[in-house]
Amino acid sequence: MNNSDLVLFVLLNLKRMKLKVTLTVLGVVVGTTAIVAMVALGVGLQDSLTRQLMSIADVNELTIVPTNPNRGDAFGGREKEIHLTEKLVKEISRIDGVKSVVPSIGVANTDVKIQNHKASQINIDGFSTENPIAVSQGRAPRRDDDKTIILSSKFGNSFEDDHKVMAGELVGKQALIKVSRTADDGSTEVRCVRARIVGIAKDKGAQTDYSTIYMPIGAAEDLWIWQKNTPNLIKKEGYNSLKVTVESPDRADSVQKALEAKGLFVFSLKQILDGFKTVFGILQAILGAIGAVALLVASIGIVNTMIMSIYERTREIGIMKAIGAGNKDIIKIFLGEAGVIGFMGGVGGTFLGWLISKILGAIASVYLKNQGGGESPIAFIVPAWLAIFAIVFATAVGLVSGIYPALRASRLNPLVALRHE
Amino acid sequence: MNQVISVVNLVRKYSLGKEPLIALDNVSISISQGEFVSIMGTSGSGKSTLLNLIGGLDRFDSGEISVDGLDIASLDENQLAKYRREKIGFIFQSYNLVPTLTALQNVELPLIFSGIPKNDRLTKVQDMLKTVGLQDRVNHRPTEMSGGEQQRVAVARALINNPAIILGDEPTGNLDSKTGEEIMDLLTWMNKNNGLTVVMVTHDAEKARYADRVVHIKDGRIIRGEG
Repeated sequence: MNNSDLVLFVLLNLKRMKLKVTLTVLGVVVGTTAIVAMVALGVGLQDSLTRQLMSIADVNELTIVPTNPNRGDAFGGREKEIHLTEKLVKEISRIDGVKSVVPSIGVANTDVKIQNHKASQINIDGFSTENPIAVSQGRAPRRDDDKTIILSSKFGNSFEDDHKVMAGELVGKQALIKVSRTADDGSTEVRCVRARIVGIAKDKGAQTDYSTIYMPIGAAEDLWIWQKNTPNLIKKEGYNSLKVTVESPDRADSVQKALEAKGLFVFSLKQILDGFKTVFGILQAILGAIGAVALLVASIGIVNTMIMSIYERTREIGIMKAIGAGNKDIIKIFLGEAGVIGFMGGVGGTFLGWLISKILGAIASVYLKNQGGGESPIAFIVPAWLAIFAIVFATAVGLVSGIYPALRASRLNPLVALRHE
Repeated sequence: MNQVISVVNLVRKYSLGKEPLIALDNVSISISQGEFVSIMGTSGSGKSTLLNLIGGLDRFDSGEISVDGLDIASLDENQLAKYRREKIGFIFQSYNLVPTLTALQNVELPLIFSGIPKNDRLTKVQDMLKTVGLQDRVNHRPTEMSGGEQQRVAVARALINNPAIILGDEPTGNLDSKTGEEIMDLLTWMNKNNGLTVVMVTHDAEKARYADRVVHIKDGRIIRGEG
């Protein structure tokens, strides 16, 4: 029996038991729909969380810290600390694939006055001109442009007076920056710096959008050292952390390995995303398994339908055997019927699952918008692999369900089958 | 003449309850190429059992059947299916057509199981239906045909694979005498013109007379005509 005949034969057989087949297919549709919708929820959640994470962090960035934060004992004991010195910065910048290495300098407790608006508790963040801050207005500072700063996107909200000032209005204005420290005798000392605002940083979607001044690294370092009041601070203790930017995201892995080979502790977004993938892989498997229970029930339905149809067609099986059908032909016919039931259910269920995903996704986003939220984190995504997997899986379930009935049909004694009424 | 079927000391027992029922008791018979043989006997005499064993539909306990040089006892299930497909054409009393298929599709079935491509099948089947006089019934289903017509479809189906032997199990048993005779004429014609070997089981002496030789069987033994 060749394959095209088998397909025709199978379809012909299914057509004549339309009602029974339709009901059985419906069972598979429900099971497949459950799997598709459940996994689509898992994929959608992963996607929306990943996107939120990507919007506040950069896949090109690696962060080096002096100690491993995951180790150390419960009493706060620490492992040996690696000083993030200038020498190390130079070494790292020579690693293949590294675009820039910038020490992160943070100067806290700063007061700022721009025209007559005052803001306190502002943080100064150093940046390197090799790796400039992306701006939405104004311009990025030029090399060694020490007396210029960039304001974070929502800086206007930090002013103490009630005027809500749009950050954009401040471009070109002078800012008076007051950094304070506690002197050796306990008194408070203040150092004032003037700088011109040249640009407004792009929104990062993070807390730092509200109260950050971005300052060229050299100037920021000066202020930091002054505030810490420790001579040779960097030589002694090193920087708090280093931000390494790689040339392209695919270099991140090799650079991370090279850094770890030096005994450094490295954080990367990719690492976090990989962790995400594992967690969501498990979540999707669990959600899929819940859906698969429905498909299991459907598979019992397929077995039932096939066995019923063997009873009804016993004589026909006898006829086919008498005129020369081999056991393999009979197996192929019944397996084919069960497989096609699974396939049809898989296609139907994938479509229905996709449709339900769209509807639920739309409802969730409308609901959250009415609640005043932003983009809905509850998203349903049906990727191509899920659709293909669902159809293949449903077909496989159909085939497996058909094994027992098919073997049973093929083992019928032709004479006994012929006498069956 | 060439011997095409050779049955030697064939024994077939059925275990019904405690007493084994001996359906065939040391039956030996040989049938020549192109011969038309009728097997006669009352019901329960073992005549159908003999036919089914020759056709490879059932297994036997001891003895030997050889058809066209093939030792039937040595064939496994797959080889038996191939044997039925290639060497044997069955005609049954109750026609045994697949009710959901048309005349054409029913006749096509053995060719499908032989793996013959669609294009080669169609003309062959149509020619065969013409031969049995059913060119106007090609797309009718069994329920839309008379008994005689259904049996003609069955004859066409039996012949379509060019078998060496036609085995008929009371082929006219469900037909009135006129259509019964038409079927017998068809079988005789096939036997005379195409040199087909025909073995037919019947309890109707009238129909048995069409054969070259009549074999009588009683209580599992051949009492006359073993040849």
